[in-house]
Amino acid sequence: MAKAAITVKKLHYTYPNSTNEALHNVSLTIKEQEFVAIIGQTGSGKSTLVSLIDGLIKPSSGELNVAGLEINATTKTEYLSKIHHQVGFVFQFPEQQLFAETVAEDIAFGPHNLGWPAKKIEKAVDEALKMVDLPLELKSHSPFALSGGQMRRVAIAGVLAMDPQILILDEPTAGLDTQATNDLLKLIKDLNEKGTTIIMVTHQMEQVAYYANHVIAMSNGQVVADTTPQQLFRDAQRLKKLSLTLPVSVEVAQFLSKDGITLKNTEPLTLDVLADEIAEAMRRKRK
Amino acid sequence: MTGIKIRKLVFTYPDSKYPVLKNINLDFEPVSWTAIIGHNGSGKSTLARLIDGLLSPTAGSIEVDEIQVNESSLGKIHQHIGFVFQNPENQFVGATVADDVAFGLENRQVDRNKMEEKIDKALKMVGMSDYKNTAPINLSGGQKQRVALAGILALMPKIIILDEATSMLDPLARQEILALLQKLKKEYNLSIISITHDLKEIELADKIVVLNDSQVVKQGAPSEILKDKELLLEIGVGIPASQQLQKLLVERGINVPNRYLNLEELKNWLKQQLQ
Repeated sequence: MAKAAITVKKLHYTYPNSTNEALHNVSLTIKEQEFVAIIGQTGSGKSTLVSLIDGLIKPSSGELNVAGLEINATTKTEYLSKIHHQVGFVFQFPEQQLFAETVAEDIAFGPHNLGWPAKKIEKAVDEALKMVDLPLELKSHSPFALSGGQMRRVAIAGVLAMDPQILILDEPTAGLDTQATNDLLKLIKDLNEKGTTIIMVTHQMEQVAYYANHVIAMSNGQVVADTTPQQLFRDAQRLKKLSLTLPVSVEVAQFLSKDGITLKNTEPLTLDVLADEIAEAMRRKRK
Repeated sequence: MTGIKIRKLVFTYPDSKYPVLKNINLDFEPVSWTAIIGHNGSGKSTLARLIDGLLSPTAGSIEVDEIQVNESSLGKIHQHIGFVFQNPENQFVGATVADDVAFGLENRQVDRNKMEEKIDKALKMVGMSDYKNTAPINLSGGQKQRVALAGILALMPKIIILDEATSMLDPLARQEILALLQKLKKEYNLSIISITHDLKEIELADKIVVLNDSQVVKQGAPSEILKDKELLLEIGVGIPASQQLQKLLVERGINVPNRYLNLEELKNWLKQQLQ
């Protein structure tokens, strides 16, 4: 059994100057090397939850353990910064936060803040660029002269350079075209296969179905589902109540089953699996 | 309303050697939904801005409802066309939703007494009547885009241009806005021009125009354009799920009709086969 990367117990959070709880009694466990998708409507508490995991804010009550670091309401702020040695956070539209004169300086910013020696930083920058599939020649270029997709990759390289054990991504593919989206998701999947725990906030149910092995659904500051994608998509009624959609492959299977055509796998997570199921059903019918 | 006629249109940005649009000839039928698709940098947004008179052609002509688009006709053109941008955040000026919708009307010097009525009607059209006195900052992305749309509808345009207007919305909010636009198009005989990468939005169009390398490389009905997988991949919009599934079924020896089926059509075809 894999070790727990993150445990959250009875976590509550209220933003300063607010009377409503943004998170209410959240408990969950994320194991090492999992690929977790966090889903839910805008304002459901997804971003608050990942901000707490990254130590950007402290819980109002309850506790978290992130990669062995215990955090509660009384944790000192200096201690919180230790989290950044273990956890990387790719914000929404991260390219908006590029600031340095060259690509290399921008990527080096995080490792520099962690106090790494120059040699180690230089190596980390090169490796991060290779990971996001950008040529090393770009190091001396201004990040602002790059295309949108390239800028996003530079921003992500800046997080990867810190070699995080746990990587949080908040809607990493928003605004990217199909090719750039697929390239980025492949990179995230590769990192996961090499051992990085992934926590990805997303609205795209296809991404949940294809990539995640654990899905956490939030609504009104609470965890309303903590399960596998397969289980989540089985309950179409509940999804509808949460204003979430089904991936196309599951939608087609459920449409057919409503008319009494039941496929063996009622929640095919990919179109490939769906096509196999349909081919099988056609063969059965011909007999 | 006679639609939009574009003839031999060329546009080059100042400081640039190369035209963003070269020799564009296009007709937009009245009361139709046209999707303009193409790579980033293919000239889509430039074309939309030229139609709205926000930019002036380097050469060639654009006619909107038989009015030549130029500096002196801009006022008239803006009565015909409403423009919705990508990011609703950048479009807000008012302290409340009602103020915001009022802004466009004030610019047109609409009578104060009539204004209230027009604002109420526009907010009702987009289903935002309950938010009249809300500050825009307290709205969700989808709600903001509805308010932006109300500000435009209050002016009763005949043509609405959507420049990636749903790209910042979550999938459900996007579905809702698109359903609303379909309804409004029918009820008020609107023409819609949408610039988009979103396949669901593209599928709603009556006609698709494909721009590549500054030129119109293809135009036609969705059933024609959306089956051209090579072209779709080349311009980066991806292949519709129904087309992917169709291909996977053919690979498994299933005799799927050799024409474009949208997802609903494919679902119903499968049902027939398996029942």
